[in-house]
Amino acid sequence: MKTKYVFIVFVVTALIQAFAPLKMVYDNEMTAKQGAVYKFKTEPIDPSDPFRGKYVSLNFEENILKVKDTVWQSNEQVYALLSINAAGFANITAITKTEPKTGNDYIAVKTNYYFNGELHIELPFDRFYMEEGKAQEAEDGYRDYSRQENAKPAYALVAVREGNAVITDVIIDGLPIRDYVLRKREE
Amino acid sequence: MATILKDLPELVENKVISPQTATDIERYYAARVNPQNNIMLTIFGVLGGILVGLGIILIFAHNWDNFSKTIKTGLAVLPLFMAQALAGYSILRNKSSVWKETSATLLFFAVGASISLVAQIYNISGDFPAFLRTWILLCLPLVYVLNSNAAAILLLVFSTWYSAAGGYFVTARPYIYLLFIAALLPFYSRHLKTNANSNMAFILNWLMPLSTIIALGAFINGTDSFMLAIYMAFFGLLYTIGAIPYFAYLKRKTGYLALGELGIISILLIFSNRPMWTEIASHIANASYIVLWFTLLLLTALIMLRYKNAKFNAGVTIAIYFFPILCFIAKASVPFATILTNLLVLAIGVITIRNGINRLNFRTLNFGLIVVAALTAFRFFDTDISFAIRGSLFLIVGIGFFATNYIVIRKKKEQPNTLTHEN
Repeated sequence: MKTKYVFIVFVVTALIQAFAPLKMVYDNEMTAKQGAVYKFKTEPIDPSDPFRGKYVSLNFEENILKVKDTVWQSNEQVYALLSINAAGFANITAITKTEPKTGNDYIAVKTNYYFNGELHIELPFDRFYMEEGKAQEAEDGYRDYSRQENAKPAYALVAVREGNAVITDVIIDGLPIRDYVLRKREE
Repeated sequence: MATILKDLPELVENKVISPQTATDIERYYAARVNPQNNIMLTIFGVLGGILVGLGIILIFAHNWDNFSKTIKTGLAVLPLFMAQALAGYSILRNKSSVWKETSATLLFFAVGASISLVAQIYNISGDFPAFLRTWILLCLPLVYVLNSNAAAILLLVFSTWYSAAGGYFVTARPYIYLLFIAALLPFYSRHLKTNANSNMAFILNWLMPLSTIIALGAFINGTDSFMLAIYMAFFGLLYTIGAIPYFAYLKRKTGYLALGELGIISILLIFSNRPMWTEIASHIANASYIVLWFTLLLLTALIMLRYKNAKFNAGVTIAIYFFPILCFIAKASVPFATILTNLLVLAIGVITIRNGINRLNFRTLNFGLIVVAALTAFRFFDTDISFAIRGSLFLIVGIGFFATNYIVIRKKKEQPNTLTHEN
C-alpha cells in the first residue's frame, strides 16, 4: 500500500517536472509562430553560461526611456508598449504598470533603475544561443563590421504575442547571424 | 572472516560445531557482506549519475546548428523521461537504495538539463537564480519519494548556490531558500533520530551549518560592517547548538561546534584591528537588522538556559555576549573597544591552551596557540607599537608553542592510559 502512495506522489512530481519544460516550449512556440515580428537594434557580444552553452549577449538601444513621473522601483514588473519607427525598427512608446488589455503589442519587462528622468529597463530577451565557437566568431565579426563606414545596424528579430517575446534571429549586414559567421569563414 | 569460512569444514569434521551452525555462520557472513557492497555501489551509482547528468548538459550546450528545433526539443526532454522511467521502476519494484540513489541523481540532472535546453532553444534570457529556483522546486519531492541521500545533498548544495546567486550581488533577498531548508528538515531530523552517528547524519551536520552560514550573507548584504556583528551572533547560535549534549556527544565533531567556534574567533581577530571598530561605530544599522541581531542573541541565550548542563567554552561564551557590549563601547571610545577585543582574543587563546594542557589534547592546545599566534601576527603590522615590544611578543608566543607542547608530551608519557577528550 505504502509503495502505491509513494508512486502516486512520484507520478505527480514527474508530471510537474515534464510540464515545466513543455509549457515553456508551448508558450514560446506560439509566440514565435503567431507573434508580430519587431526589429530591435542591438550589439552582439559573447559570453557563456555553464548550463546552456555559448550565446551572444545582446545590448539593446531601446532599454533606456525618458519618463515623466518618478515613482519607479527597481526590479518591478512593467509593460512596454511597442511601435515601429520610420526606419522600421521597434520603438517603445510607453511603459505601464498594468497589463494593457487590447490594442498595441507589448512586452513584459523588468525595471532596472530610474535616474534623472530616465528609466532603465531589462528587455526579457538579451541572449541568443549559438553553436559553440560560432558565438565568439559572431562577436569578432560584428566588431570588425561595425567599424566600417556606412555599416548597417545589427538587429534582433523578436516575435511578440500577449506580452511574451521570443528572439527568432539576429541579423548582421542583412544576414542571419549564423550565415554571417559562415560567410566570414569563407572570406 | 575468510579464515573462519575456510576452517568451517575442519570444525564440522572434528565435531567442534554442528553442520547447522556452519551453515548459519556462512549465511551470516553472506548477509553481512551485502551492506558494505551496497554502500560502495551506491556511491559509484551516484557519482556515475552526476557525471552522466553533467555530461548530457555539457554535450547539449554545444548547441548543434544542424538539428531542427523539434529534434532539439525532443533531445531536451528525452533524458528527463528516461530518468523518470528509471525512478518510477525503482519505486514500483521497491528496488535497493543503489537503484533509488542513482535514479534520483540522474533525474535531478535531467530536470536541470531539460529546462536549460528549452531555454537555449527559445533564447529565454538570463535570471540564473530563477532557473536554479525552478530546478530545485521541481526536484524537492525526490528526497522523500525516492528516500534519496544523494538528492538531499544535491538539493542542499544547489539551494545554497541559489541563495548566493540570488542575494549576494543583487538587492533581492532569496526568501525561498528558507522554504528549501524547511522542506529538507524532516529528512535531516529522521537521520538524526534513526542513527545520529551515521555517515549521512555526519555529512548533514556539516552541510546544514555551512549552507546557512553562506546563505545568511545573502539576507544581510548591504549592511556594511554591521554584517559582521550579525554573523558573530549567528556563529554564536551555531556554536551553542553544537554544544548541546545531543550534538556534543556524537562520535564525530559537528560543523555547528567547529564552524561556530572558528567563525567567532575569526570575527574577533578581524575586530582586533582598530579600523573595524571605527567603521562599525559610525554605522547606523537599519532597525530590521538590529531586530535580527537581538533575535539571534536571544535564541542563543534561551538554548543556553535550556541546556544548563552542557559544556560551553567559557571564552567563546563570553565572546558571544560581550561582543554586542563592545559595539556600544565602540560608540563611546574606539581605542578602548579595540583593546578589550585584543584582551578577549588573548583570553580565549589562553583558556583554550589551558584546556588543551589539562585534557592532554594536542588539537585543542594547538588551536589555542594558533589563536594567540594569529593575534600576534595582526599586531605585527600595527605601526604604533614599538619594535621592541612586538619582538618580545613574538618571542613569548614562539617559546609558548614549544613549552606547552613539551609539557603535554611529558604529561602524556606519565599517564599513558589517559583518555583524550574533544571539547
